[in-house]
Amino acid sequence: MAPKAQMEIMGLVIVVILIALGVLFALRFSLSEDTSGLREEVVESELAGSLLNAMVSTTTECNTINPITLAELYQDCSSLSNGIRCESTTPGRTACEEAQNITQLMLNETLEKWGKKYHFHISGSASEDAKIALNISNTIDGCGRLYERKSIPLPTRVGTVILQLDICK
Amino acid sequence: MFETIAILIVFFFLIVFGVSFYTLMQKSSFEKENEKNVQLKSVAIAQKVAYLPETDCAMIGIQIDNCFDVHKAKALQHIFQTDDTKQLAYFPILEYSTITLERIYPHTGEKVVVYNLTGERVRKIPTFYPIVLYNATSKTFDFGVLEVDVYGT
Repeated sequence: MAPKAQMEIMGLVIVVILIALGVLFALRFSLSEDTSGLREEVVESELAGSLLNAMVSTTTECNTINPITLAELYQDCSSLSNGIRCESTTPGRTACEEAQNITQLMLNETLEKWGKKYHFHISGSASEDAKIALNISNTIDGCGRLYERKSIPLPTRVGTVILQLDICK
Repeated sequence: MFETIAILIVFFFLIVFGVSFYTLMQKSSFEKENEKNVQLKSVAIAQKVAYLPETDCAMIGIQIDNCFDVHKAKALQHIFQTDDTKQLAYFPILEYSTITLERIYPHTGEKVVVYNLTGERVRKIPTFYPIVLYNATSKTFDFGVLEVDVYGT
């Protein structure tokens, strides 16, 4: 083979090697782990649980003399015992109305403000009225298959009711 | 002669293209790594704040999760506002960050900025946690939000 032809083949080999290296680098960087949503993942994993815990522990303005927690309002609403009548804010308001009002406000000021879709509802032994009043969501068709779900069981006179919060991903 | 020059041009073009591509990718990789570190730091600081003994609610020695004592928080805010050195003593834990407690229910709007050290940095990563604010005077728990803004470079 003539020396010129050999040189040309060498040139081609170098070009092929360079292209292969380029492709390897491109693959290495394009397949590297995407960490942009790392913080969101960590925070979201705790969000539903801490939000539900904080909600049920909150003292409402329902009765200023004998402070009533939101958990107690949920319990009274679920069993429809009508044992609680809120006098401090809107006189004569039932536990269901007050619980719905406060829950809506809390979810609006947190998840809604942070641009998160959610679905809050009550299940288990809760009355139908409670299930309707406490079905609060800012999505029309639910979360689909991707959501962070946390539940809290509450004992009532009619059995255990489950408070459930789904935060869509 | 012409063929040799053409091959050399292509060869050097490929080398320059490869080097610039590699530099670009390394830069992007470094930025990603930096972003990841700042994000992890923001989560770590937020977790530390959530369990800070200086502001926790302890009932008969038992710490309540996601709970801040309003009186303790206001006292800490007062200490930090009146004495910068005290705030600097917390720098190893809280670094460049702003920690705010905001009451949502009842009576939305009250804010307590417990710690504020920005180091004139502008890029911040906010983290929000729903919490309860315990008022030891009225023995009530208000619903609120803990906002931890961590400043990155």
